[in-house]
Amino acid sequence: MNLRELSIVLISLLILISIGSITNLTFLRSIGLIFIFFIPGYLLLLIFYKKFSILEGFIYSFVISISLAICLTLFLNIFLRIEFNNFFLTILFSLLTLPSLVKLKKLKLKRISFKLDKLSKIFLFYLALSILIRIILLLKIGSILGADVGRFTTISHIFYLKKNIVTNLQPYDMATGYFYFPGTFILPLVMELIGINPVDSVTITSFLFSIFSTLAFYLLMKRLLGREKAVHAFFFYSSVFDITLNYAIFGAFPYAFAIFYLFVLCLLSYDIFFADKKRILILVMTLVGLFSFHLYMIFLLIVFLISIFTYEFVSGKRFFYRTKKIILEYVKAAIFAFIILLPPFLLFWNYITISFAKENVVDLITYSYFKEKMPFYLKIWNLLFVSPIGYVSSGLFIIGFILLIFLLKNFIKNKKTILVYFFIYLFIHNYIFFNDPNYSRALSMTWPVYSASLSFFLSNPLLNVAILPILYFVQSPSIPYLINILTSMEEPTIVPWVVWSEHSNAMNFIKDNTSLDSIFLVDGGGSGCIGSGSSYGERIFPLTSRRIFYFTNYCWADYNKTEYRRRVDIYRRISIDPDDLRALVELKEYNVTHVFIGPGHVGLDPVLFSNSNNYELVYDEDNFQIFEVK
Amino acid sequence: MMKIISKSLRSNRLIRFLVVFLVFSLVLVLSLTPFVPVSDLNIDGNCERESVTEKYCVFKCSFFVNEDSIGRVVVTHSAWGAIFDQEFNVKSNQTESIDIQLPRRYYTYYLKGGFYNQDKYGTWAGRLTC
Repeated sequence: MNLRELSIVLISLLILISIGSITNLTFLRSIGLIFIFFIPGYLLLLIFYKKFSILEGFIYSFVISISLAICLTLFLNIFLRIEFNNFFLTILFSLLTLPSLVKLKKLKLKRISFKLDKLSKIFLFYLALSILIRIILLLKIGSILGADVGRFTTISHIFYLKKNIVTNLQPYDMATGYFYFPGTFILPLVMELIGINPVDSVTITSFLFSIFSTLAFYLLMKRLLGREKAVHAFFFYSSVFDITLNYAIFGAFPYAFAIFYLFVLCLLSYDIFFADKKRILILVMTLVGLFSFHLYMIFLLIVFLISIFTYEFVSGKRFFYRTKKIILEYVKAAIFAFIILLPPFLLFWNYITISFAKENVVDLITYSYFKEKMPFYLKIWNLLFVSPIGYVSSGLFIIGFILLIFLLKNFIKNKKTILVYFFIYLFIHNYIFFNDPNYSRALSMTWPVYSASLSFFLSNPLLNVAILPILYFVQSPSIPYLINILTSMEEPTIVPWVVWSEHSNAMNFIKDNTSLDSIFLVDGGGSGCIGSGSSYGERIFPLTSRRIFYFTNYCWADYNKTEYRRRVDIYRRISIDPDDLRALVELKEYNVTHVFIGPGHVGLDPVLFSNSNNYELVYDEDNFQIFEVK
Repeated sequence: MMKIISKSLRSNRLIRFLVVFLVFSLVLVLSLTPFVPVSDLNIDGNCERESVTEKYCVFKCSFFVNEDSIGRVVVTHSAWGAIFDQEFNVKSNQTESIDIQLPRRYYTYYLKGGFYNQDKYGTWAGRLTC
């Protein structure tokens, strides 16, 4: 494609999106997805960097494009006060391509070579396989609900309805102010503006982030272990140990996405440190991306940085020069990232300390009570062999660790010790954070190292592929095992991570048969400090715009505690007895019109509601019940 | 000669590794530890089921804290969602009791007790079966 063709394609796409925005044609608008995920970043890469591989091009374009979309949305709305309406997307996508068009004359499109050696073919085979099993998994789960999906799509949908980014979420949510990583609600918002509902948008982006994080992992391993080992490590990571996918499936999508940025930062750090590459634009945008989803990864980045510092100090000769250089590079990038992120900082500044309030800190650490009491040997077992998702151990972790011990000599002999240093420092990091419910998720960072260990022993592609079906039966974070447990989960467990078409039918019923000012009392009640409860109903709001009677105990939001406790108490009394007259009167004061109960109910018992004269059953399909309050 | 050089190189590297490892480990411990809050209030808690009806159970929970503090008891009925939430003041070395009425259900409730004052935190947790 030459330059003229490229500009014609870009302008045509912009016109199509503009028509789509004005006429509400979702199909045309959805073309905008490639503006969010690829085009702006790719054009900027072409302008600023002469050399990058195809994979680097894909990954960095993804990073830059998403960060740009988030930052521009924040800037346009917070600083320029442009409301979220049909024209917003046209302005957004025009601006996304603007920096590139300025320098279009200088663009030199990269020629892509398709000469593949044996290792490239194996890699492409593994990649195709990993995409295929992800598609099977995606078809299996339909849509992800999970812990964070409900709470952040609620916020993004409030922005959508209010047409602005706001700090006061009332009357749709209890929070009057909050501080959280902005990408978690801006990305679903932009997707909703395109026409994809915010809940499904999280599922779509989760799968994209998962694939891109495995690619970033491959490039990192290529530098740390060499190409051959990296190819096989890629297989194990993408099929068995993908942290991003696992966290995303279970609803912790901000953390899942941040893992991708962590890998990219490790990759950039390696290139800046050892290869003297200039990567400031990508570094800035990756830091912006990291902050947009979960800043906690900074500590893991420090662990990686001191691993490469250790390597250089022990084996190299330019420790001080290289260390100084990379630190300066990070300081420079952090300053730029901070400036780019000024709009959300200024808007949410007053709420930045909420998470550190004593009542919120203590709320968080109550989840660690049993961990604190754990004997030392059990802590070590957990640090090495237990997944922080679901707290289950797996034989694969044990095998990965044992292989790592056996390989130590090999690693040292071949000067591939960075990964070993990383594992040691990671262990110290994880030991310190073991009791913390948020930071202890870093326990899963042992998985990339285990993937690398396995790659030294299992390097036959056909044999590796043959292992996949066996993994269907082996308790592990592998995709085959995920498919297995999700298949057998016909009756969902207490916390619904994923939803099936039956839930969509219930949502459609609500859209078609209830008025827009209906308010739903939902089973599960509300959300706790570190996650949302088991409320299928929580997603009624982002999917149908009907409000829910809910109580939110976010540890990062300001809300009326007395009001919160009043709601909890009404929910408790109505759970005991749906005919509790005082509770019923109070519910009516809140204008509650319906009660929504899903499968695997926890608080609200559908049998009690069916037997009551105060409620009328209006929907009863596939274990979903909706009652109208008389 | 080569062997001696190689051996001294190796031991040199080992010493360098040990030095840098100690330094960075210390940096990690010193810089990360402040981010982890420690439960250093002594909490003695106990919950007993006092009565059961067809619809609900009543539990009596008592807490004894070694310093004046604010206590907050949350009962969750799923992983995170609360069905009971109460805050109260606790006097040093005195037992504070609360009654918790919960619906009869097929699962076990999880009680989280968080206590704090100006300087310290404390936690207590238990399971309530109704």
